Amino acid sequence: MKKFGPVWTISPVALWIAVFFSVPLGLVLFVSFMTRGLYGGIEYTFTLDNYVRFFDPLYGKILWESVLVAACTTSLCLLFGYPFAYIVARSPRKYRNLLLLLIVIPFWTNSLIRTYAWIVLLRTEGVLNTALMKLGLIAEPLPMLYNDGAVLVGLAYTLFPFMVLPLYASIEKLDPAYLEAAGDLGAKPWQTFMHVTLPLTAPGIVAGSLLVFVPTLGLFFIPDLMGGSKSMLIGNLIKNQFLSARDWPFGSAVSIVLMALTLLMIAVYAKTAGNDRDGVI
Amino acid sequence: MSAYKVQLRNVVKTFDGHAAVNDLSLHVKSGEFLTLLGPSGCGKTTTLRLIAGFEQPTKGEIFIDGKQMNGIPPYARDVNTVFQSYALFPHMNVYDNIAFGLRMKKMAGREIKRRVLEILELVRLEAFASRRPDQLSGGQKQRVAIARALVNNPQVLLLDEPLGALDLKLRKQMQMELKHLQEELGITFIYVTHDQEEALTMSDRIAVMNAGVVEQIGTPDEIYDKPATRFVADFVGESNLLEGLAVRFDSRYAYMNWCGNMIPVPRAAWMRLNGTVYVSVRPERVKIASSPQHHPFAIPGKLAERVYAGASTKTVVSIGEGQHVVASEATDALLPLTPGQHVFVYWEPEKAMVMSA
Repeated sequence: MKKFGPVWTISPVALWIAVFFSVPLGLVLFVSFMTRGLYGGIEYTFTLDNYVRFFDPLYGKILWESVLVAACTTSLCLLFGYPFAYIVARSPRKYRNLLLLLIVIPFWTNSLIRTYAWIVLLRTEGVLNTALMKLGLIAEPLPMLYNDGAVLVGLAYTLFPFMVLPLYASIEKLDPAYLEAAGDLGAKPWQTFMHVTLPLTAPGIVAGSLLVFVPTLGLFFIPDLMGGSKSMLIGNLIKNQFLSARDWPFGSAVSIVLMALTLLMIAVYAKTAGNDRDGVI
Repeated sequence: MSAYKVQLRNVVKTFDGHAAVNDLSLHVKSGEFLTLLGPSGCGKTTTLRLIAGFEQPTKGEIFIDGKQMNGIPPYARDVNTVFQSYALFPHMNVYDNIAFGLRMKKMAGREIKRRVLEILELVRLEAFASRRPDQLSGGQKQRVAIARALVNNPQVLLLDEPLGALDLKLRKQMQMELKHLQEELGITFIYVTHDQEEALTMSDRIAVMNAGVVEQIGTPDEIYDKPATRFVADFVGESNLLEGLAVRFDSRYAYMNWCGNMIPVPRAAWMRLNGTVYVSVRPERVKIASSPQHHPFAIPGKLAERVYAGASTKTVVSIGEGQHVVASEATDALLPLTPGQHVFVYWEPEKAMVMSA
C-alpha cells in the first residue's frame, strides 16, 4: 500500500489535467482530421485537407503578420519593461512590492473592459483627441484607433506584466557584487550593462519574451476591437473558423499548427535555459 | 610622485547618520602590505570600499599615487579588488573572467592572451582556463579572483577578507602564497581581515580599527608587544587586562595596586601618582608556582581550572573577588597542581605592557 502513496498524491492533478486539458486537446486534434459538414457540422471522414489548406499563401501571410505583430509587441514590452523592472528591482526594498502592485492592479479588471477603455481614449471623439483639440495642439482628430499601431498598443498594454515580472525576478536576483566587480575591472557603466547585466538577466528576458509572444498570437479580441477588423491575425482566423465560418475542422487544424509552433519555441527556450544553467544564480 | 601610494586624510563616511568611518587618516607606502584589522562593523570594509571607489567619503580626501580621488568612479581608478565572495562572473569561463579587465581597456587581442596565460601560470591554473566558476573549488576560485585583479597591473590591490571562505589548512597555505606573490610583484596590498593571526603572519604593518577609527598602526611585533590601547591588547592575541592605581614610583618601576597586591610595571612618562594604569600581560608570560618566589612580586590565588589545548595548557587562577589571571604553559612542563590548590602567579615586570586608555 505504502508504495502507491506517491501515485495517490498526484492523482487529483492527473485527473484535473486529464479532464480539462488532455480530453479537450484530444478532441481538437481529432476534429482537425475530420471533414466539414455541409451546414457547419462535422462529418466523421478522415482527411488531411485541413492541414493542406493551411499552406495556402493567404494563410501563410496571416501567420507571418501574426508573428510580426507578436514580435513587435514583445519588443515594445521589452523596451519599456526592462528599465521599469530594473528601477523596481534596484529601489529600496520597502517600495518594491508597492511598485509591482501598481503594475498588477489594473489586471483586477477584465481585459475586455480595459480594451474598451482604450477605445474611449483613442477614438476620433475620444478623450485624447478632444483634449488635444481643446488645447489647440491639433486642428483635426488624429487617427489613433483602428490601425496596426492601436493593435500594438493594446497588445503591449495587456501583456506588459508578463514581461515585467520575470524580468524583475532575474534582475532582483542579480548580485550587485558582479556590477561592482565589473566597475572595479575598468568597465564603464554601459560596458557593465552589455557584458554583465544583460547576459546574467538573459533568462528573464527570454522567459518574459516567451510569455508575451505566445499569448499575443492567440489574443483575438484586441485586434478585433482596436484594429477594426481590418487586421486579421491567426487568433482571429481561429475564432472566425469556429464562430462565423462554422468550419470546426479547419479551425482545429490551425489551432494545432499554432500550438506546434508555440511548443517549438518553448523547446528552444528550455534548451537555452538548460545550457545556461548558471545564468541565474 | 608621492611617497605614499594611498593616503586618506580625515575621511568620514556616514550611513543614515551613523559614522562607519570616523575621521580616519591613513598613509600606505608603496609596495607595502598593510592590513586593516578589526571586529565586524569596525569600518574596515567601508574603508576599503572608499579606496576602491564603491563609496564616496562624506568628508575628507582620498589620494591614490598622489592624485585626488574624490568623485572618481571605480572604473577610472588604478586599483583592483579581490572580493570576499570572489564575484567571479558566472557566465564566463576562467580565461574570460581574467581577460575581462584587459578587454574593457581595449587592449590588443594578442597582448591580452599573453598576459592572461602568464597570470594563469603564476596562480598555477593553466589547466583550468576553460572551466566555469561553478566547476572550481574554493581555493581555485580564490586564485582566479586574485589573477583577475592582478592581470591589470594595478597600483594597489585591495583584498576584502579574501580567505574567509576557505578551510583552515587551505587558508594557511593561501596566506603564504599571497605573501610571496606580493613580495614577488612588489604591488601595494591593502588587506582587510578580522583574523588577528592572519594579520600578524602576512602584514608589513597592521592598522587595528575599532568603531570607525584606527586604534593603532604599526608593525606586527609593535602591535603585539606594545599595544597602545586596551582594545588592541585584547583584540590582538590573548591578554590578561589589569586595571589599578599607580601608588608609588621608584627609578625603574611604577607600582600598581591590584587586588591588594603591589605590582611593579614599567614606568611611562604619562603616569601620575594615583592615576589609573592599564596593564596587559600575555598568558604565555605568566608563570605559576606553588610557593612564594624570590621575585619582585608574587600574587597569591587559587587554581580554578586547567584547559588542555594540545601543545599548551591554559591554567586559570582566581585572584581575590571575581578577578583572574590566565597562564599558558607548555603542556610538557606543567607543575602537578590540582584545582582548588593555593598558588602564586608572577611574571617579569618588563613583560607587562602599560596603557593609558
